[in-house]
Amino acid sequence: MSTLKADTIVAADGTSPVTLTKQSAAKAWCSADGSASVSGSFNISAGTDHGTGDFSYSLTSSFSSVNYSQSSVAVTGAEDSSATRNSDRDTSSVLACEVVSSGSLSNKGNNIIAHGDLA
Amino acid sequence: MSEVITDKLAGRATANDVTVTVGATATQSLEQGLAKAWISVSGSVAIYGSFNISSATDHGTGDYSFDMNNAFASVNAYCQTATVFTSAQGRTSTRNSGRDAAGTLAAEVSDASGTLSDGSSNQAAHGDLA
Repeated sequence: MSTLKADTIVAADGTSPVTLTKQSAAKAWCSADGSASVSGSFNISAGTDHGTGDFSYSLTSSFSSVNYSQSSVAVTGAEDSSATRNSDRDTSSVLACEVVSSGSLSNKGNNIIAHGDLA
Repeated sequence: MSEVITDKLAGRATANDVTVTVGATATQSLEQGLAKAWISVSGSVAIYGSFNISSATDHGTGDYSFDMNNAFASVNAYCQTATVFTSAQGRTSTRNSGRDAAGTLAAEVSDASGTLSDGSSNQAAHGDLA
């Protein structure tokens, strides 16, 4: 078995993104509680609590546009819960979600992940 | 286009620390972007496909857990996302904080009325392994 050891990998032109064969790595993710306090994250600089069930997370490195893919889930023992991507608040540099439980916005934990092209 | 062919990729100084260019100027940790576990599973815990999952357990209606071969470093530091695998609208999956652990993904699946219901789901998790 061969092993390649390197600190940094860049495309052959010295600047372009690296292509992973048949794979795409997540560009940002976070695990946060119901007050947007982040317990684990990647490429997240800060979490903001905008009110009941309304959260956003700023990125350290932004996406090239707002047209990235985000998925979200509510973290709770209450099964009647869900998390959406909040299209009123998301931007190329901000992930946003709303958490609902029993049909109403609710301060519950949330996990978010995003894929796409960074700027 | 140049291509590197290898069986294993490791950081030169730290094994899990390899930086890749991912945007016009942005660079990121390769390790942090990779999913560490995922599963596509039926409502009766028949596993359709998985990665780093050793077993799936049905705890009752809509209540599932999935044990990992290699656990995360801690339960609070990983990110799990989920979706219900169904043709019925309105169904949801949560991460079940009452059952998850560093080595166990847990999910509850509900129907459109918010009641626990057996259903297929897809789960994925990112974070630092132990």
